[in-house]
Amino acid sequence: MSSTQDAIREAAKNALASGRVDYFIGWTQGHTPSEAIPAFIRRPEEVDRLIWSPLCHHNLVTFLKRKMPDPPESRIGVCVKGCDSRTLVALLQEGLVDRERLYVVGIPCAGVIDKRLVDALFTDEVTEIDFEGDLVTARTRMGESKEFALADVLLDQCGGCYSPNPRYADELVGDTLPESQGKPQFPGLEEFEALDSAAKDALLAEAFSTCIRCFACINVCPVCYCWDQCVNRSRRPALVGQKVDTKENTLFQMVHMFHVAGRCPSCGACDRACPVQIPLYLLHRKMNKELYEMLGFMAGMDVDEKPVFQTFRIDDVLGE
Amino acid sequence: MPNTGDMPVPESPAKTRLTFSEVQVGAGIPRAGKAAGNPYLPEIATIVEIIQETPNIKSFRVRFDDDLLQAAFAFKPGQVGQLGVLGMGEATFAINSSPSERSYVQFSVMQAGEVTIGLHCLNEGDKVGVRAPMGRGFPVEEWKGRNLVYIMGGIGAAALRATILYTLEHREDYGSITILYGARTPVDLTYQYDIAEWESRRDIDAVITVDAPFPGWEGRVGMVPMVLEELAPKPENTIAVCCGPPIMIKFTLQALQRLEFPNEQVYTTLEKRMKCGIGICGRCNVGSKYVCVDGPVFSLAELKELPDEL
Amino acid sequence: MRFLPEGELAGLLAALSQEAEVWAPARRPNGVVEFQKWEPGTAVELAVLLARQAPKEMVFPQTETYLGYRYLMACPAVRPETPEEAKLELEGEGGEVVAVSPSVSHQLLVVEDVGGSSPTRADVAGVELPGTGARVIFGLRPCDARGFAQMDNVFGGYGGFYFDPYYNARREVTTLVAVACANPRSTCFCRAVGGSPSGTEAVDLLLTEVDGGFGAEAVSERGQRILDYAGFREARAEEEQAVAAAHARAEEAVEAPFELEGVRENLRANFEDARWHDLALRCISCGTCTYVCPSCYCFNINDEMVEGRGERFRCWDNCFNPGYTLETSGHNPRDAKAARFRNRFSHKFWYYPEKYDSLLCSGCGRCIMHCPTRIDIREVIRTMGAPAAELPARAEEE
Repeated sequence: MSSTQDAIREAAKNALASGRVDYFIGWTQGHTPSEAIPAFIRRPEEVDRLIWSPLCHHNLVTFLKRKMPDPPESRIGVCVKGCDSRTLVALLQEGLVDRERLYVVGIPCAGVIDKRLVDALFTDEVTEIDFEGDLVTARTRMGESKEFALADVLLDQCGGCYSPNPRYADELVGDTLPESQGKPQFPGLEEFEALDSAAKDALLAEAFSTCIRCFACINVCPVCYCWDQCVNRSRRPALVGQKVDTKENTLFQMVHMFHVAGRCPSCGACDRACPVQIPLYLLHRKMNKELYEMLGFMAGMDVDEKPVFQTFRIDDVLGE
Repeated sequence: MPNTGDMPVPESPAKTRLTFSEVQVGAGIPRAGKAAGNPYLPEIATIVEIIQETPNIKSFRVRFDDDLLQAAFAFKPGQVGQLGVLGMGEATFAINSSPSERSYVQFSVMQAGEVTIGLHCLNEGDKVGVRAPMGRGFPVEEWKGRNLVYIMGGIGAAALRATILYTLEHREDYGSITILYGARTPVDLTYQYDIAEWESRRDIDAVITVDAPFPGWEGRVGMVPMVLEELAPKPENTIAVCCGPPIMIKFTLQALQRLEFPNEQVYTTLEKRMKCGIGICGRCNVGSKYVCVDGPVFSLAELKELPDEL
Repeated sequence: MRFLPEGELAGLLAALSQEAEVWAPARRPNGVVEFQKWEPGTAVELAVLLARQAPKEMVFPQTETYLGYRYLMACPAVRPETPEEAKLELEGEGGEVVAVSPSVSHQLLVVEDVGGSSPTRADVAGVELPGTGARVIFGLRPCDARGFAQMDNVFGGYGGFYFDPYYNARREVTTLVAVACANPRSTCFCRAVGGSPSGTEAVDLLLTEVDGGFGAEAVSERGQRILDYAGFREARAEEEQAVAAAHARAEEAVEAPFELEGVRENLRANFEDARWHDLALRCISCGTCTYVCPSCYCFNINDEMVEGRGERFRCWDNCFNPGYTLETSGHNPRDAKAARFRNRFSHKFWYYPEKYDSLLCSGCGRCIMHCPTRIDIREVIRTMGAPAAELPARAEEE
């Protein structure tokens, strides 16, 4: 792990020192050592702030989409994990980012921690998380501590990860992981799928009733590239109601789901960003499962592939 | 209670928050809209006349359905109002009828966004919602005894028309009055009915100009800032008031600077996206000033004090 | 000082709920702690320091209808009622029809106060704690209560500005029963902004959790009346000491990560500083920080109409929304993410103070906890609130 971290720092340092990039985006420690946050490095001597650990969950591709880079024409170095890279590939497929301005450091990823699972084990605030091999130690502000296996607190999607290695990078750091064999997994849907449609509606209504329309899910989504002119906010046409109630919230989330379908590889950034913990993965993962089962499509696997909604084959079979 | 058009910032504002009981007895709280003290509710008014000023600008003359309110409606020149169509929303426009006009209130609307398109679809007899007056007008009382130079471009005339009409009605209170009005083409000149009168009056100078030669136009040709420099008004005891598109304001302010007008003697109005119109909802701020209540009228000296975020 | 034995808490809440709607922090099925309407059997969650969102929604709901209206189309098949029939129907819904206008292009009925969601003065005139619409917010923290004090200025006509009847109708019948913080989080910074984990600004009754129950101190007359509940008894000397010790312990546990002095002036001086752009790089320009904040109050007003029936309503909005300041002409004074970012912090520590003589931040730290990228308001104020000369040089300027 630390050798990967060193390699990231080295890559960042070279890219900055050579003037290849204006700034480099990686991860650094948050205000406590229980969290990693995105880091924006402008000078070679600052690269030691960069870290690599299973806490580095942020998908940094978000910071490449339109209206995010500052200044807008910046040349940017960026770290991507396997799933992150698929969102980048999705943007590249549609020409939504300029590949010439990017320097992409790819990192094979064996899974990142779901901090919500760790937090749920304590009443007090978790302020420190350490790793030793596959053992995780979490400590709280009041000094309580617990140990558990890394596998037990990974994001559910990491277990059967189909693309642990970046699908696109200018430089690969760290050791390549074995590619997944067999079919992609869409965990966590069984319960939902078993429900009848009334029960599904009820479950979604309950989930979306607490939505506060903060737009964290949309803005943090790396492939939601027209975030600043979102149709969910548009008044002309006024398609989505601005009232914050279950019905309009559901429409709001459905619009997001449909708009990113074909680009979304279920990286889960929206789910983790939601301040009220709405299970957004349900929508997106379910959509991706349908796309896979109907059309054999997986988003962001290959830069030269055409996005699913820009192709039509006469033998496309929809449904049974 | 009829609306008196009081400014929202009294001399010695209460440095406490108020309660309902204080509002009920009328603690001098300025209010727009319903007499019940709800500044968010529009007064319903009826469009009595629509004037097609230019291809994309219409003036709406509206009358409050409440006759008492119409009779008592008072405002200061330069103040604005929220004019809206229920179902389409509302937007801020300058009140541009004369403050002495008792039979209607006039707003001029350029077709641009959602609300203005809704307004342009209306006919005479249709209902609109009005919340007015709002904001701070021009200090016409302070200007007494001074010379006035009005500098306007295109739809910018809407922001100054009420003030011009007011000062012309109180002609004896002011020194010389110059009106410089320009538009892209003669077709884009609003208030043709005023222009004819202004040009015929001997006690004011009215200079009408268009940006470029135009078939049939025999009047002056030239951009407003350049014509202003040709006219070269003297800054002594003179107030310059300008309103127009941002680019015209920019060059006009530069011209005024070259003519050595001090910042205190130059006034303009700001345009911002506004919603509540009463200094609460937050979007029209420039620094700690809210354009809806602290403006839209600002002197250049006041603007220089604000952060550069226009 | 009075004392409420632990076992009496549910009894107190039950007694309060006889006279008012009681809101208290409780867990949702998904584990998130939010203020919820208390009913017998609801477990009040005080161990988690801060509910996910500040309780501002009880007074300033996210969506609030101003008025309703209906257009009658001249098509009997679509809308068979006559204006008179429609008027009767609308009045039956609790509205007062103020205008009926058969006109050239449309017929419009305007109805106020649709659905009873918007209170009028009549609803609150003379209403005290027991009575229609009365509410008790139980278990909020002193910083949450301070958020109300800060919004009170904005909505309450401070400085001669407008008085908001919707906010005040609820605020005037809301009683705040705060519980002092025993265990501040790493993100708490109330002391830096002039507050305290046992602060009493805007609080009616302050409870302090100690062994065996709660020490109770009334701050207002309303709080005093709650102490009439029979479950309270006089606090023993050791309980009073325990309360004082708890206050002192919490006070010490809160860090003061920046000095307030000079922040306003320095923010002004640093307005154009390029470091705003560096700090804003990590920001995704969502509104999470503002919606969980106890004092952010900005809103939007919208009209929406379906099949001739429409409402004008307000809903929360925030200065990170790219369309927030977008003008009809297409010009946007805060088009850049960094400009929007700068506005939030400048509003809290410069614009608001200039207008209302206090701060628009109570140091709860929710914006840090819930920001998807953990933008840290303390870091922003430490950086941009410092004199420019003391700031570390920025790369390009070297």
